[in-house]
Amino acid sequence: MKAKALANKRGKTVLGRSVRSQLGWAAFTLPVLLGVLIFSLYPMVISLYYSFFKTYTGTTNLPDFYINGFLNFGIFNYKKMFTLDPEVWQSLGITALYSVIVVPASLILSFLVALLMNSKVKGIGIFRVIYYLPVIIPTTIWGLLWADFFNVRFGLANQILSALGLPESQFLESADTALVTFMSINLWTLGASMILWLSALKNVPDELIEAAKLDGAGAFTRMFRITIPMCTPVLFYNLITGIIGALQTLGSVMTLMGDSGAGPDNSLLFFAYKIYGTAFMSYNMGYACALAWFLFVIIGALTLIAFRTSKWVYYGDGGES
Amino acid sequence: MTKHAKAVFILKQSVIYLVLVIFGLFFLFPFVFMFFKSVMGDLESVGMPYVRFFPTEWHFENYAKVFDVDFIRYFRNTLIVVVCNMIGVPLASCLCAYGFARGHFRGKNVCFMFVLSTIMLPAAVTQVPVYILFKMFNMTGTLLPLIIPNLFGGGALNIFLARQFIRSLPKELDEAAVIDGAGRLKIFFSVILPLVKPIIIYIIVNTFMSCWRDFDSALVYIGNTASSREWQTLALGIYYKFLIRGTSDVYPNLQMATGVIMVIPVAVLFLIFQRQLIEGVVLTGIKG
Repeated sequence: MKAKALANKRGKTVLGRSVRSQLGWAAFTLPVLLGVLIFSLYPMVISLYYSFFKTYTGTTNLPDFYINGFLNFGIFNYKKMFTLDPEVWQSLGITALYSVIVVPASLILSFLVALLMNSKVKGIGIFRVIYYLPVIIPTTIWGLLWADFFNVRFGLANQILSALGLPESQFLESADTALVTFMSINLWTLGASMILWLSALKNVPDELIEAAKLDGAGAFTRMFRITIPMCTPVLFYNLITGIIGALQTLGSVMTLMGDSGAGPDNSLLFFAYKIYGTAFMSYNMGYACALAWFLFVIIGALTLIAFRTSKWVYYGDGGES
Repeated sequence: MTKHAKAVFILKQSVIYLVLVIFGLFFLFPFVFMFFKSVMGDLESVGMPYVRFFPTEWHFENYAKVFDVDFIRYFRNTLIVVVCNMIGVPLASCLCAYGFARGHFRGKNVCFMFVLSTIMLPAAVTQVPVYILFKMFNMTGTLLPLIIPNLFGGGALNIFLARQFIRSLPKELDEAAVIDGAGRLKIFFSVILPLVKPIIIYIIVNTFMSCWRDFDSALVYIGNTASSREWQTLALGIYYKFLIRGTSDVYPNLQMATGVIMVIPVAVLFLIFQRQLIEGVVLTGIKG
């Protein structure tokens, strides 16, 4: 008892709260705080500033207020974004359509796969690994692979379709089918959310299920009244990361389409691709910053809505999030 | 009756296995497809005269052809990025996590929330201004933009995980070391670091995987100019070499052989560390 008190007292002199000690502790977190300042906060602030410049190629340190006597500073970019540039709404529409279909569909499908994975048979661990495996394929290779598979004339996909007696498809070469084809590739990465579902399923106590069984609850009731409500944190997490992921779709389109860019008739023009193209193909940094800020506002709003309406998420008996 | 029950049980198990195997084949398909294509002859791989799934001849020499000057350069660059980050990221994130877990200083909680909030900030939003920032320092077109931010950041999720882990360690350990006269840095390296090994393994493997596959930031910060070609990483170099036509005329068999070579390290690492990785994913998923 006495020894512990002494240790505490001694500990306080070193681990205590003098100014020097506080500075010492803060030093541990300083590099990361600096990193956040330099690579998150500063970019956000400066990009808001850049976004008001009509012409800024990023080659000078700061944009000019006047170019050849004309005012270069104003709300040009925002005006363009909301009223003049049809590609903004087109890309938002494509991104929204993709999210609205792919996010719920992969949530449901991966949940079903997780249910299958949760069955008690020998060697299930091997299947779990196999199901997750496609997730680790690097983006570039992923693109190469499916570009070859879905090649209209020389790809295996059409070969399979005709072997099944189905009509051949234009896949990524037609505006009508490109987005659907791109969506379908997500079937191979269901493993990522499956793993999360699986951990949630494992957390549902067996006693609860057994008790419900004794009370005469059928499999259907047990699923919708116990299992799914208890999995809501994972559902919520998957929902948010799914939407943010969809809003960031860039590399997977570029590596799949190669020099076809955003696909036939811009059918795969995702919002992140629009930002990339504006900045690094047209070198219109001001406009790209305005678009990026728009994306930031959208993501912020969606996240806020998600958290505000998250009463349905079950966080255990404690009730704290 | 028992015989009947047993028959039902066996039937049920067989159905489950059948479904498991069918889905398994589906998820293995990308790997099998890639491998078969990688050993095909040149013409066969482009579907001449027929589109095939199984190769008729096995051309393992395709793999030797992949290792040209470009590939070795890309590989060297990726290796530099991977090694720097594999050392820097766990160190940066654990040091910071230690400060947040054990330290007392004014505004600690605010700072911690500040760091955590960056999880919600997608790279697509900050890419353009960060690019301009690196350009000011003449660092675009080099590997530095892929390394420096990680040394300063370590990733908010990593910090969060490491902090949770350090907080779960008994405080008596630190206090005992304090009595022995150890300073904070010494405590960190001799007491804390050895104990957070599981988290460090997770961070290292995860860092390897994400740096190895990273396409988006290489695309933005390195790009494809005459001078930056020297520093393109594997993921980026392969993109410009194989997917942007007109630069070179490469058959799919060599593309897929490159793919197989690029997948092997991540696949092997994943198979070795799958438990830690999956548990890590689960942890970040549930608590994040």
